[in-house]
Amino acid sequence: MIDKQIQQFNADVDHLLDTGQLPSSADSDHQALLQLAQQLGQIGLQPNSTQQAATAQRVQQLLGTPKPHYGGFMLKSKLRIGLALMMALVVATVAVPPLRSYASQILHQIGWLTVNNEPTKVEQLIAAPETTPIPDEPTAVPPVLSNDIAYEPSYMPAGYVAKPGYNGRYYANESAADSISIHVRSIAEGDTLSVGAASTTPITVRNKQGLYVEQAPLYIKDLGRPMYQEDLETVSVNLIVWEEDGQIVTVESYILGQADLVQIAEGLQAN
Amino acid sequence: MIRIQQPTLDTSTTQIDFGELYAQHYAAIYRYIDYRVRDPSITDDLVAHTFERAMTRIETYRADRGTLGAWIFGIARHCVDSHFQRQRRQRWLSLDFIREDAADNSDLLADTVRGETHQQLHQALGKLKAHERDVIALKFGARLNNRQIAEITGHSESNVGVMLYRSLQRLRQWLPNTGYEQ
Repeated sequence: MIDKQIQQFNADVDHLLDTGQLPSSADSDHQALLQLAQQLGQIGLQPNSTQQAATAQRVQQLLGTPKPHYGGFMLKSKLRIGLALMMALVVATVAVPPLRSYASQILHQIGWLTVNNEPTKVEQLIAAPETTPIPDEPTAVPPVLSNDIAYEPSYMPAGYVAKPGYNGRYYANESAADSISIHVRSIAEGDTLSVGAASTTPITVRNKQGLYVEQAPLYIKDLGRPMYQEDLETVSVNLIVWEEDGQIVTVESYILGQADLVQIAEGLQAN
Repeated sequence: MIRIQQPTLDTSTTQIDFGELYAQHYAAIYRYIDYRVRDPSITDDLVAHTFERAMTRIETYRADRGTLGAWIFGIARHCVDSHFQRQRRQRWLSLDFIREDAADNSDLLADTVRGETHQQLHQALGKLKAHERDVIALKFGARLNNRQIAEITGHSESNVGVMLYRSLQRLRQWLPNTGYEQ
């Protein structure tokens, strides 16, 4: 019975999509489902929409004037470029120590935060194969970060300008292509910070035990356009991290080293 | 109405008319991607990327493994999945002490839907599972028949029909005051 309903429904949907006409049905439930199907069919853009025409033009420019290709030189040269890129990737993979080659090791414990040498999440995600089904919506809920920050820096190196609109404190130095970020976060028991192969140095900051992490690949480079697996690159930062009043504080920069970061940290004043 | 024609290709010679491929599948690919991402500029990029990839990889197509339509839709689905994966990554990054732009919290879907009914419909669509949304986009966006969807997704044709029927039933339950509810 239900199979028959499903068959009829699918036949009616095909009729609807082919003709634009809603098939009549004595069954009100069936009719309501078809009305919903009609609505779903109307969501998409019309075939002759301006945007679609603009995209078509772009694709045609990209492909050149559409004409038959028979695996000729143009395709082969593109394949050669692709092959060269693939070879470069293989060489890079061999030249760089594989991520899996070092055993997981706890480097430091800062309050409840465990710092280990496992690949960072960014490294794991870039290395992950893309064959697994990918939901269209986030399944991981990011921690809620507050715009309120308990500390105000009294020292900032020359050239760094405060940028509002970011969580925490964020200072950009456009001429040096750098930024400084100051974050205060609540950490739960068992939280970890993986820093991959970055070097770590125990430090004392604000009379507390902390850690200086050099060149930790924690970011993905923003190319300002849709990115695909092969486009992704990590970006490394230097950071110092310590615990204060039950929270984890980090100060980080792309280029500043330990001395500068510690000086900024020492100058933080509680609000 | 755009339907994918079943091409008859010779595996050994693989002589493919790219212009014909474009003419035959462009509109359906466009509508499928638009249906899934709901952002004209992203649709534009992903459609262009799909055909660029198809052009550069056309020699990898094997007719004995499926139709050309299924092959290019596979590329389009991969492009869309990669796009969503990147979005998902951006959210994950915050777990690794990634700075977040506080201004970037807008609901992309809510910004781009047209009209209140469509908005409700999109919100309901968002509750479906990813593979169900994909099948709906292939059906109502790309306007493929169930056999073509089966070929692209790897499900059986009858399975696609059941999936569509049940997905619409669930959508109907989630849509209040629209005349669809039971």
